[in-house]
Amino acid sequence: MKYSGFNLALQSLFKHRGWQPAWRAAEPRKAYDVVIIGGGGHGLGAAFYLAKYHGITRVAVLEKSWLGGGNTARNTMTIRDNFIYPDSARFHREALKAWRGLSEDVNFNVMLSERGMTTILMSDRDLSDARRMINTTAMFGAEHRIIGVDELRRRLPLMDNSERFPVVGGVDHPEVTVARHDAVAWGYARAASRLGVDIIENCEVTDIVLDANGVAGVETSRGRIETRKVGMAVSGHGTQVAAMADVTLPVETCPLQAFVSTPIKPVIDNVVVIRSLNTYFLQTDKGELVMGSVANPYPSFSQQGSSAIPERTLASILQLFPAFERLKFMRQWAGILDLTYDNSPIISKTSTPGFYVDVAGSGGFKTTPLAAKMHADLIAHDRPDPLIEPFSLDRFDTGRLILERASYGNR
Amino acid sequence: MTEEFRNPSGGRIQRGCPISFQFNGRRYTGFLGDTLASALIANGVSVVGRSQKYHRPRGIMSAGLEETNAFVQLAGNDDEPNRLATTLPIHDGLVAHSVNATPNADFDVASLLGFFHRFIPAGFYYKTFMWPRDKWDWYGRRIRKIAGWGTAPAKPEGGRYEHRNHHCDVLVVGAGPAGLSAALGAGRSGARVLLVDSDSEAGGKLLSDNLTINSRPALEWLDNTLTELDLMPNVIRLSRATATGYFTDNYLTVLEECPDKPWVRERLWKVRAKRVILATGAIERTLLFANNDRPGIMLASAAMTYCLRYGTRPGNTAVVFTNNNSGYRHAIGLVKAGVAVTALIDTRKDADSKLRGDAADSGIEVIADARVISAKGRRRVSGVSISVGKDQSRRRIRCDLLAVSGGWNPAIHLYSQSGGKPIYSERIASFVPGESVQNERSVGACSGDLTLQSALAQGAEAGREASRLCGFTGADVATLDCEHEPDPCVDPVWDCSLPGSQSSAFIDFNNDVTSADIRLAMREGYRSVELVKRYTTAGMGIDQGKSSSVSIVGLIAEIADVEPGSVGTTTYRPAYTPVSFGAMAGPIKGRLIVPWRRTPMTDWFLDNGGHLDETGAQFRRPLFIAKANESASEAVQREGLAVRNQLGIYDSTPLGKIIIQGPDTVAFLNRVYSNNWDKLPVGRGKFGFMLYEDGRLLDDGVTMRISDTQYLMSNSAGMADVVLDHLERLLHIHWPDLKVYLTPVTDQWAVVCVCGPQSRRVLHDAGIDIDISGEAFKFLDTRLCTVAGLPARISRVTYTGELSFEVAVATRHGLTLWNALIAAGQKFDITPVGSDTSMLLRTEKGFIAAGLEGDGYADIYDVGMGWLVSEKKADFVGKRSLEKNRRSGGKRPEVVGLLPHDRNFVPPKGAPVVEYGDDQDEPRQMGMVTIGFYSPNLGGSIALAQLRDGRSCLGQTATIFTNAGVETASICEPVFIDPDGERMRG
Amino acid sequence: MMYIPCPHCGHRNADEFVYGGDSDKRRPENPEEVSDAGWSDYIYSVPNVKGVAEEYWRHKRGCNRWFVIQRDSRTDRMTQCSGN
Repeated sequence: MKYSGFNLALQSLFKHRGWQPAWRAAEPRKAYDVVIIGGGGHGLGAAFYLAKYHGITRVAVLEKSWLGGGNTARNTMTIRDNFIYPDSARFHREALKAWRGLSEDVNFNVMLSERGMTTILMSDRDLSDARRMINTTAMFGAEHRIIGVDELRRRLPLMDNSERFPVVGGVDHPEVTVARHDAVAWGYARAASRLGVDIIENCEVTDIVLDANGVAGVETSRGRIETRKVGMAVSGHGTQVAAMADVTLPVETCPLQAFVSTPIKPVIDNVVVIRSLNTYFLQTDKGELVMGSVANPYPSFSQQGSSAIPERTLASILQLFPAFERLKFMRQWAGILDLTYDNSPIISKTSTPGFYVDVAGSGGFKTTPLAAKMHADLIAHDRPDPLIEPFSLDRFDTGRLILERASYGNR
Repeated sequence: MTEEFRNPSGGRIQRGCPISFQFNGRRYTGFLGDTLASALIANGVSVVGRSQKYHRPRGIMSAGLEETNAFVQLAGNDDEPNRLATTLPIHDGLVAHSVNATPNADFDVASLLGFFHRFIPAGFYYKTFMWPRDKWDWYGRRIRKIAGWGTAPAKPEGGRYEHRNHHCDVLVVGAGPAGLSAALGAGRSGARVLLVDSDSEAGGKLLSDNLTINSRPALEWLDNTLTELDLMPNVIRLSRATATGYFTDNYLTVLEECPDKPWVRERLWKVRAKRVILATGAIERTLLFANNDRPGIMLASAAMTYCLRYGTRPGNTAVVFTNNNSGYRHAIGLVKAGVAVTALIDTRKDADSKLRGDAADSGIEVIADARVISAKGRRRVSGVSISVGKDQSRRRIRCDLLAVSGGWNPAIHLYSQSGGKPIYSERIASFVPGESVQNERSVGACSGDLTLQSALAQGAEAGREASRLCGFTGADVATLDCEHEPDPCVDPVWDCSLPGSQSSAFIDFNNDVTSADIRLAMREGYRSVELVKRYTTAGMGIDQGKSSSVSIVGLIAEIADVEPGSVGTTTYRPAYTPVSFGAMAGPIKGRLIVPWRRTPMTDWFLDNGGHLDETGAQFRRPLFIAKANESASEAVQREGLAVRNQLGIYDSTPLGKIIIQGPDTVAFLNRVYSNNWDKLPVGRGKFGFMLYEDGRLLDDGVTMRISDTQYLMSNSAGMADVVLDHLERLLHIHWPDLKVYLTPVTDQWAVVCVCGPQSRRVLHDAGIDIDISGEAFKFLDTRLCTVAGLPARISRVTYTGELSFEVAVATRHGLTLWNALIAAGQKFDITPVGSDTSMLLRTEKGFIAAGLEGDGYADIYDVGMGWLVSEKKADFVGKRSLEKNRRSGGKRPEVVGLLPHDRNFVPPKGAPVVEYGDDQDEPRQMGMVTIGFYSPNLGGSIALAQLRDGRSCLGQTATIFTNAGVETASICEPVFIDPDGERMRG
Repeated sequence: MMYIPCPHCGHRNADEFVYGGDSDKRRPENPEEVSDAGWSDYIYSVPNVKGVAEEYWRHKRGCNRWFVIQRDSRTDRMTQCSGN
C-alpha cells in the first residue's frame, strides 16, 4: 500500500491493520546476480538503485544484525557540502543534491529538512579558510556565503562572545540539510523490497568465495550464496570483510562519539559549527540538541565512549553559548568509522574481480544516496562514473590523495 | 492552601521548617525534606504535566530518578528546564511550572491532539508529509514548536561547576542496605572507600518501608551504620551524588549536586577505582492497561515512599494492582499509613497464602486471577475496570489511587555501561547482570536478589572481597537477620489491555508510545528491539527507558511469541541521569578552553594596535599593527612598503626551535631532509625541506650548526609540534640505533627579526659587539654576540627576501630587546609588522608555504624546490614515495605566479583556475589560487597558484573563476621581486 | 578512559598519551628495494586488528617516551607492555 496522507487517514478507520511489512523478510536463495554486504543506508540504497536504474533485481542485501544498525543509526544527520578540494567539493555537492526527491522516490518520508548551517568563525584564519572553501565550491553551484557578526547574532541570539576566540563572522550554508537517519535505511529497504530485492537480516557474511575469475559467492551464517558480484557497503568492519576477498583497505577503525541533550523548545534552527573548537550541534525535531566533535584519536572497535570528549565538546559549546549551562546532557553513543588514510570515500573496483567497495572514509551519512547510486552503477557496468574516478583505490598507488580537512576525524 | 493530603505525623520531613513555593502560578507550602513531588501530593495536586505527543494530563508516577511524567521548568534565579519533581528538594522561593502545556497543565489546548490519536500512530510521519516535494521542513517547523519539553534559559547563571579527580580502592554506588554493608565491609578493613548515593539521604528502601534488622527497626541499623562510616577517616560518603557514567578501566563519573554550598552548584567527580561495587537497587515497573497513565496511578513502591518518608497520602481510597508478591507488602503498608485499600488485584491465581492472609487481616479484598483492563477518570483516576478469572467477568472499583506493582527491574545501567552483557532472569522476569567485564560486582537488588537479607549479606561479602583484592585484610561484618521476604514470583504479563480497546495503554509515558504502537511496528516488519524502539521512539525519552525498557522487550517477546531473553536488551549508554552542560564542562571555560601561548611581546602588540589572531600552536600573533583609523589592508600595505624600503621589526618567537645533538646528528638530518647535510660548518645554516613518508611536504626551515655537536632547527610556528612528533617517532621507532637527542626550546627564546635595507644599521645603533658587515657575516651565518647589552644569538635568515637579521635572546629579555630595537629604529621610521605582511612579502618573493602552495598532493618538485632534493642520497624520508608518485601520478599541480590583467583584481585564495571546453559553459578546473595580494611594492596585484602542468603554461593566460565573474591573468614564474636574491644576500 | 600502564611512570589516564600505530610497522631498511605495491602497502595500510594487537603508545604529557603495549581493540583493555 502506498504511503500517503489519504491511506493513513483510511487506515485510521481500520486501526491501521492494513499496513503491510515495510520489507519482505526474505529467506536467502541459492544464487543472486549481486550480493550487497551491509544493510545500512549505503547498502540498501545500492540495491534499490541496481533494481531501479539497472534492471538488476536478483539482488540480496545481507545484514548481520538489524537494518540500519550501523552508522546509519549513529550519526548526526547532517548533509553538508563544504569541502575544499575540487574533486571532493564536486562529489559532496552532487551528494547533497542527490537527496532531493528521495522521499518521493522511495515513497517514505525521510524528513529531509533544508535547515541550513551556520559556521561560526573565530579567527581571521578561519575566515580565510572559509573564503577558500566558498571560492572552490562556487564553481559547482554551492551557495555558501560569509556573513558578518551582526547577521550571525541575529541568527543565533543566544550566542555570546568567546573570551579566548573573538567571533569574527560566520558562514551561511543555506542548503545544508538534515534527514531522519533511520528512515533512510527503512525507506530504501521498503522500496528495494518492492522491486524484488531480498533483504536478509541476521545474516552475517563469514567468508567470500573466490575462484580463478574472482568472486564466486559468499559464505554466510545462513548458508552459502552463489554470486559473481559482491558490493561491500559496511562501516566499522570494512577491513575485515574486504580481507575475505583478499583486498587490503587503507582503513583504520575509530570510534566517533555523539551526544544528545534532553529535549527543549526550539532554540536554534540551523546546524551550528564552531570551527575553531571542532564542534557542531543541531536541534532535532523532538527538541534534543545533538552534538558532535572529533573521532577518538586511536583505532578501536569498542563502542564505549569516553567522558573526556563530551566534556570538551560541551565546554566548546558553552564557550559561545553560556546560557546553555543548565541544559542537560542526556546520552552519548559511539559509532565506529572506517577512516581512510585521506578521510575521503573509496568507491571502487578492487584487485579482486567482482568485488566492489563503498567505504565512507569518514562520516558517510551525507553521501548516502549518491554513493549508493554510484556504487550500483559501478557494480552494473564494472567501470566508475567520472564523478567517482578520483575516489578509486588506485589513488593509494599514485599518491593522488584527497586529504579532506573538512571531514571529521582528521589525522 | 492547606496540605489536606499530609498525615498529621510521620515521615522524615522537618515539620518545624515550613517552606513556601509556587507551582503553576499558585502558592503552596511544604516542609524541609520534601521533594517538589511530595509537597504537591501533600497539597492534592494531581496533574503535574502533559505528555509529549497527545498532551494527556499526567501525574506523579514514581518517587525517584525513574520518573517519567513529572518534569518541571524552574523559573526565576533557578531557571532550568526538565528538572525531575521527584528528586527536586523544595526551598523557599522555588518557582516551578509544568512543561509542554499551554496555557497550563490543568487546561492544555493541545490536548485536542489526543482526539486525533488514531490518525497519528507510531511512525505516521514516515507515511505522509511528502507533499509538496521536499517540503517536510514546513511541517517540521510546526512540529518542533509543539515538541520539546522545557525552555532553555536565556541568560547564563554564571557557572559554579567543579571537576574533581579521585582515586580510591573501592567505589560503592548506592547507599541502600547493600551499598552500606559493602562500604562497612570495605571500610573496616582500612581500604579507601567512596560511597555515593543519588538521594539526599542514605538508606535506600529502608527509608520507605517498615523493615526490621535483627528484630529492631531497620532505621536504627541505618543510623548506627552511618555513624560508624562517617567516623572512618578512610571513607568518604556523598549524598545527592549520582554515578552517571561507567567507562573503560573502572573510570566513573559521579555528579554531586551541592544545593547547600553557595560556592559550587554541581561537582563532577572523576573516579578511578580499583574495585567497584554496584548497589544501585531496582526500579519498579508499571503494568499495561488502558489509560494506565492517568494521574493518581503510581508505582506501589512510590506510594509507600510518599506515605512513609514524606508523611503524605497519595490517595484516600486505593486499589493495588500487582503481578508479584511485593504488591502485598505495599498494600499492607499503605493501610498502615492511613490509606484505605479496598482491593488488591493480583494477576496470579495462587499467590502465597500467608500473604493473602495478611492482606485480608488488613481489610483488603484480594482478587486473584484478575487484571485491571482500564482506568477511569481523566485528570485523576476515579476507578478501575477489572476482568476476573477465566470467564473474564467485569467489575468496577472506585478509587482515587491505583498503586501498580509490575515487578522489579534491577538497575543494571552502570553494569551495562561497563561493557557487561545483561541476561534475562525468568525468576524476576527481568534482566540481571551477567559476567563482570571490569573489576566490578553487583550486589543487592541490582543483582536481581530483591530481599533485604541478601542485600545485607551480599554487600558485606562484596565489601570484604573488594578490600581483600586491594590488599587489605577484610574485617568481619556480623551476619544480620531480617524478617522473611518471599520470592517475588512475578507473573510476566506484559499487556493487560483488551485487544481492540479504543483507549491507549502506554508503555512509554515519556514519548507517548502505546502497546498498539509496538504491535503496529512489529506488523510492519520492525521486529528487532532496536528497530521497534527507533520506529516507535519507545524508551528514547528523557527518562531513557528507565521504567519502560524491560516492558518493551517483554511485550515484543509476547507478540513474537518468543522468550524475552532471546529478544535481547538494548545497551544502556551514559549518562544514567542527565548531567548539566555546566557540570560536564566544569572548569574548561573562558580562556581556559584552549591555552593561549604568549610571547614577551604579546602585551606590547595589544597596547599598540596589534590585530591578534590564531597563527598556530595556540599562539595569537599580530596579523598587522594598525595605526589609528587605518584599515587592515592599509596597515598591511604600509608595513609591506616599510620592509622593502626602510625597516621592519617582527616577532619571530612562535617559530619552532629544536636543539638536535648527538654523534649521529648529521646522519639524522640527512635522513629527514631532502638535501645533503654532510658539510655544514659551525656558524652556518642551511635551508631544508622535510617530507612526510608519503611524499607530501611537511615543513621547511633553516637548521643551523651552532657548535661542533649541536644543531638548531627552526620550524614554522604551526608545525612545530607536528615536526617534533615526526622526528621523535622516527628516532624512537624506526632508528633507535641513532644517537640523536631532541630538545624543543621554542619557549626558551624570544626572537626578534629586523628586516629591510636599514636592518644592519639599526643593530649597530642598538649596539652589537660583532662585525655584521656583508663580508664578515653572510646570508645564513649565525653567531653568538651581545645586542643592546643582552647576550644573544644573531642569524641571517629571511622570510621576506629582504636583508634581515634574527636576534634571539632569553625569553625574559625579549621585551627589553624589542624596546631597544624600536628605540634605535626611530630614526629609520622602524615599522612593526605582522604575519599578514610577512605573508605578502613572501608572496612577492615567491617563497612558498608548505601549507598553501604545498596543499593537496603537490610535492617538492611541484612547488619549485626540486633543487633541494639531493640526487646523491640513496634514501631520505619521503624519497621512495616521491619517486613512485611522480612516476605514476600523472600530470602534476605545479606552482606558478599569476599577474592579473586587471592590476586591481586580487585573486582570492582557493579560487579555481579554469579552462573552458568547446561548449563554453562547463568550466574545467585546472588548478587554484593559493594566495593573492595587492603588492604595494609592485603597484599591482599578484598571486601564486597551483596549476596542472603549470610550468609548461608559463606565458599563457589563466582564467580565474570567481563569484563575481571571470578574470584573466598572465602565468609567470612565481617570483615577483628580486629574483636573484641580491637583497637578502646583500 | 583507559588507564595506561606507562612502563616508566606507572598508570596514567589515556589523555596523557598518544597512539603510535602498530608495533610491527617498521620502516624498510632499503626502501628502493621495495616494490611499488609493497611500498604503498607500507605507507597506507594498517593492520586494523580487531582483537589483541601490539602497538606503540607515547606518554606525551608525561615522560614523553614510546613503549609497546598489547591492547584488545574490542574492549580497549591493555594487557602487557614493555619499554623501548
